[in-house]
Amino acid sequence: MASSAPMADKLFSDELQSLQGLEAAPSGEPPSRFVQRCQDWFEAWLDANKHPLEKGEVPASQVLMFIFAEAPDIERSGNASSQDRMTKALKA
Amino acid sequence: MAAKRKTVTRADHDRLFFSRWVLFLLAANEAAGLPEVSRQRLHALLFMSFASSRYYSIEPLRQRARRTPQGPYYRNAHLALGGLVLGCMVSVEDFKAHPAPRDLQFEGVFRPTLKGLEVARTMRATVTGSRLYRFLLDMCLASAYATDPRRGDIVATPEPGTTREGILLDNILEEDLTYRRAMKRYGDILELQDSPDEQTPTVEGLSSIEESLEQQGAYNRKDVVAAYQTLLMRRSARAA
Repeated sequence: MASSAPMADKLFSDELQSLQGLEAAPSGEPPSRFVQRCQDWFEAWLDANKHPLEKGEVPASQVLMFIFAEAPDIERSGNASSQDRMTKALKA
Repeated sequence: MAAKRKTVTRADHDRLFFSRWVLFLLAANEAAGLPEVSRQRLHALLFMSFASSRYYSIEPLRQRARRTPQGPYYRNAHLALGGLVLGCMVSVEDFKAHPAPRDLQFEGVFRPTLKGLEVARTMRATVTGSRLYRFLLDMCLASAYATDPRRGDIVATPEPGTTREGILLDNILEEDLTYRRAMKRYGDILELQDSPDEQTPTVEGLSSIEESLEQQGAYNRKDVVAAYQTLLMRRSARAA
């Protein structure tokens, strides 16, 4: 096999070494990965708002809503009617 | 009288498979939040997906691409793209005709439409469809992970009309091990493999990452692909 620059199409061992401590991304189907990310985010939010929460400064009327969409930009613009339906459902 | 039965030819199948691959790739790109796809980037993404699909036990649609000054080029992918655009499943912006002697090419920026996403969702209902989409989504999520500014140890200065993520993604595609090997050779064909029983350099690279990660803990194929792309991005930054 002729190869002018040997190893250029292979990974070097120091490159493989540099992967130590790599963080595994959440696994599963896209919706369940989304839920895992939401949990992480909510934990961070709880942590960041510790004091206002303890002092009761976050009113009970506040609601946190996560909406999963695979392609939010496209689905939002092309599917306004379903958002209207959801708003109506929330008002009801 | 019963209508004469017509067989679906191999060429028809090939065209349909290409349309599915291209539509899934555009949908996965959108779902991963990657920058929009130009004609050039679409073909480069196809090349890397064909070079790595065997890692997911998926047969690539092509063993070779044509070499052009803008990178790899697949005639059938271009025809598939045209069909998807005419079928309102993919939208085009910045359309520019680009007549080539052998193909009627056009440039542009391509995004799936809502209809395209729905069709893709339907096609994911089959076993092959869902496996293929999963693989392409993993590849795109890996790019999103590698180019995430929060993980940014690599600087890229975008020029007008480009984004940081777009530049980094193009760098990754250019550094792909299979692409590099194919580019080093002469001729107007970019080959994935030398012989049918050999693995592509990309699959070999992914396997060597998997081996090295196995000693550290539990990882998914997606993490392996993300690690691979991170290494390619670092290579490109070092070469610059």
